[in-house]
Amino acid sequence: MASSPLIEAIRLSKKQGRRILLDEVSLSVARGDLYALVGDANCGKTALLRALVGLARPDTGSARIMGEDAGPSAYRVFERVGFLAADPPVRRGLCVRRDLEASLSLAGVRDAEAAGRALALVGIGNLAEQPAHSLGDDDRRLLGIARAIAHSPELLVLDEPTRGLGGVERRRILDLLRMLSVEREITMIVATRVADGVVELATRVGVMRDGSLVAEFDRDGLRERGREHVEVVVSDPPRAALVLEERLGVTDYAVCQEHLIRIYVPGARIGDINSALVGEGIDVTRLTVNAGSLEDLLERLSSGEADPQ
Amino acid sequence: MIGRLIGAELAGLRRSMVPWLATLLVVGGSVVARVLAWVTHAIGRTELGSLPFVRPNVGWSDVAVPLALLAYLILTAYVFGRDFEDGNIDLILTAPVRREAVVVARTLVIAAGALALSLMGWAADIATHALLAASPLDPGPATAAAAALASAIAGVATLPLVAWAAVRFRGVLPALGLGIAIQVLVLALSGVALVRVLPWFLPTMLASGGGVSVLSVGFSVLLFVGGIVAAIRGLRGVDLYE
Repeated sequence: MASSPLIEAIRLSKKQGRRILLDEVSLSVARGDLYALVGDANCGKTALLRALVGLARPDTGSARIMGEDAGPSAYRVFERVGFLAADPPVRRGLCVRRDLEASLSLAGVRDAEAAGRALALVGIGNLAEQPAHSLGDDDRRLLGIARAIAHSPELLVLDEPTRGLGGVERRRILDLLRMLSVEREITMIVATRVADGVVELATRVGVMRDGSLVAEFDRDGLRERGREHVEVVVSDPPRAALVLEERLGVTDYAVCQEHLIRIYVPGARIGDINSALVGEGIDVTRLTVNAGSLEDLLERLSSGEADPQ
Repeated sequence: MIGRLIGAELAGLRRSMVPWLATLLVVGGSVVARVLAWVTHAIGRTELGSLPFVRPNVGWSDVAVPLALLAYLILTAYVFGRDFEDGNIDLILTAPVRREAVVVARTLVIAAGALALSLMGWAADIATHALLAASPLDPGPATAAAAALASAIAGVATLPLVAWAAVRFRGVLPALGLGIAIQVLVLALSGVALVRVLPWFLPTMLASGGGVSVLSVGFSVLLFVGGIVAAIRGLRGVDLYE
């Protein structure tokens, strides 16, 4: 029997004035998953994560975390959940180590070494005695990540952990996420911009646009979708499929929507495809080549240029 | 859990100027009340009735009371509102602690702080009294003590209302503004008998030896409990989507 999801959104909707923050978003993250939530700024990633941890209240729908309804009554789950906000706060007047120790104390963790270990893991052990409020944005984010992982959680909810980080720091955090996911089997949901490198680690990817979850892929599905292919919109897909197989010998294709066929062919045989289809009297209303970059695909999905199906 | 939260609150206050400001207002108010009594006597005044803003039955304690109430107001608005301004509310609400416990722990810290400050104010009053020659215009130590203690009680009785405002409007200044507005309004309506049962009048009633009515105590308790419930509901219902 499949285990119940550690975190789950069920038709979550939320408006701020006329602006739609979330529009009937449903997703679930099973134990062991690293779920990358991809999308442009203001697409609803932050609102979704905050609703999932109970900081934001949805207008309709519900969120569940570690088997409990997200919200004030689910406070105990934070013994097993780490959260990184998009703009991680710091406690004024405390040094970095004390700031982290204050969070650990609130979480009831008595391990005196926990703060030092977490700081070392994110690479800011050398800043332990610096005033926390003097940290730059990058180091605040690293402190936020240390705070999220210091109490050894089972589930991490991270809002853009690599945003704004330089190459070395980003690589360190990506390696850390990989280690936490693979070696410690920590479940994660990570909001991220497309090019931030988290997608490559993900076991599942969700793409958000304008408050909606427009596409979801598992690792294989994403790779499949990311392969070089030709997309063709035709008037008669069954006949077009027959033409592809019998005249062009193409068998690696998928009829994705009512009129959309995705053809996985090495090299651009776009001319052959068009001629063959038109020659059989099939109307071709769109024919595009996708170069096969995962990042490009996700960029186009999150901007609405690519079809989510 | 409450202990951990109290520890966190105290740590937060230790690195802030606000407790010092509150101490200055309470202790300074007590000292100023004594000094004013001494100066008034030194310039030849022998009765208080003709002085503006000074009620004869309370004397210069009337100076210390609003300053003390302001100090408790600032302390409460700061303790409940600062996390919304610096973003640390995320850290509190994603920690494994009940939101009810957050309100209770903060209330306990402020209540203890108010009582400690009132004791310090009274000690300052006694010390100033000992240094300056006694005058007929001096509020007696008993009057001053009653005013100081009643100020603390009034501060505690009304703190949940300020706490609610800090949570509801997410910040220190809205809570401070609301608290000051209510105090000014209540003082402006001090002639109305029903208004005089409000907690803000406890210091005056006690210091003037007028005693405190059951209605006044009941209303203070009601305001305290109602405010706590409202603050808890406010913190449970907080909606931070950005």
